[in-house]
Amino acid sequence: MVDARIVMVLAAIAIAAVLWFVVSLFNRLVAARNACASARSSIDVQLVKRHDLIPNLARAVSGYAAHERATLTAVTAARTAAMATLGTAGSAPAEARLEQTLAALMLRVESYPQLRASDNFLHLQRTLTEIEEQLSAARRAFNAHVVVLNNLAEQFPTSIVARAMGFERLEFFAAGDNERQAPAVAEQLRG
Amino acid sequence: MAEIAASIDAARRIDSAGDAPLTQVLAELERRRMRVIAGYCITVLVLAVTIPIATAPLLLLALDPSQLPSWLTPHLPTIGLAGAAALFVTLLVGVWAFRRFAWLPKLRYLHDYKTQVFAAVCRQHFPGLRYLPDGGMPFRLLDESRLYPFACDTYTSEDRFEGRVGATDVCFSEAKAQREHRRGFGQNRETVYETYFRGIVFSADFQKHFRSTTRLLPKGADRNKVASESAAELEDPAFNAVFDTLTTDQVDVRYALSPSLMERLTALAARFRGLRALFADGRLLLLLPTNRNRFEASLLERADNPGQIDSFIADAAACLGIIDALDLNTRIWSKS
Repeated sequence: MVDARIVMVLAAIAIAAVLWFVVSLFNRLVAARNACASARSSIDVQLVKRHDLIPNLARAVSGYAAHERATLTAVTAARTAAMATLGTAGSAPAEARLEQTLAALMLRVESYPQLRASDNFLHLQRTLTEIEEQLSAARRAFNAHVVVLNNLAEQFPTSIVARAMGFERLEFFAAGDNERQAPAVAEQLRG
Repeated sequence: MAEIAASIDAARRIDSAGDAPLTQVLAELERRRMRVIAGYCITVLVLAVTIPIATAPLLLLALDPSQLPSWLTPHLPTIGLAGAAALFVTLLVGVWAFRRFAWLPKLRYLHDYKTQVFAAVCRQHFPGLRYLPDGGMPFRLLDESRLYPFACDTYTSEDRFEGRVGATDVCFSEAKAQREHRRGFGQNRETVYETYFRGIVFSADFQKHFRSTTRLLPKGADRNKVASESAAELEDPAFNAVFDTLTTDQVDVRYALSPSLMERLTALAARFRGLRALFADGRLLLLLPTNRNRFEASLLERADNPGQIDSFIADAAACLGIIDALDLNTRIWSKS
């Protein structure tokens, strides 16, 4: 009788311990996933800042470089596409396209010394550089959180809980194939 | 941090016109140096003569009374008392004389050398920078940075430089911070002071706007917990091997600490082992441990010896080189 009661108490403790262990692993996975989501939204915040800057940039450039209408049109179109796909699967290629058109615009601006000397343009250029770096920082932070989540999702014993609860590994933010290649500067200068 | 920025603004407004030619100043200081050395020699000589004379009566007490003349023996207690009094007064006067004619003139000479020569050399070689030999970085900067898990019990700081180099407002000085330890038990209990930081406290205007607070501590160093702070594992393995990064914002720390800056900080940490850094309030604070007392003049060297001046310039340039080492003058973001 006494032995049976002791066995039952020990079994209850063991079950409670296992349950507590599983719950703590689950909570860690949830925290990691939420951190990735928060980091993802930080990237979107920076993307929106970049989108908001572009009209001011285009206005500053068009005042001095009326001949760059084609380039400005390309930038504006890329911006519109990027804004339309923000937060969706198509966002990454749209943003990559926007980055390429912006880079091309900045290259062409080099031919206009008056524009480059303009305080307004300089301020916008610095702000754009800052936003690009903040965007890069947000992506780096996202990747760091993804490492944590993927490690939890793939390492034993968290992987058991992850598979059971439907936690999947996330993809890192990576440069697209276009960005990996060296930019075709001559082509961009020809316009 | 705000006090430092205000001080740097004041430094920029100071007019340095009206300096006497440096050669005249050096010549005058050299004359003073010779007088100080003469004062030292004379004081030591006089003490070397008077102390044995004052000690002589006491030596009589050490002799066997049978060896002394009989008329002297009854007066030995009086002689002993008078001898002790004479020795006491001689030592007292000797200490006063040494301080008055040797020690204080030496300190004044060294202080004036730094104020007149080093300050003028700093103005000539580093335009936009001001040298204050008696100035230092406030102890609050060290304590409130939480780069060490405790506050200092004693703190000294001197040889402050402040001003602008290129596009960067900078302020740095030597500092020494000590902690009090009690050791032993009961009657053997004693208080000792342990120096936990000795080196350069370096504060510079950072090239980017950032909101967060980030501490860089040597890997594995003791730390105190700060609310809302978390560890950051950055992408550079060499950097992570040297530093523990603690920050209040995981995105902002990666904005401030670009891959390039991480490399530069890693290289700087190889020069200054035990380097600690704080990114806060738009400024970068570095604690650079060194074991050498820099920016000092010497009584034993001629005032016009170029070696002293070259050493001062080299030490100042080494500190200012940190700005280039960390590329702080590159200002391509919205912060000018």
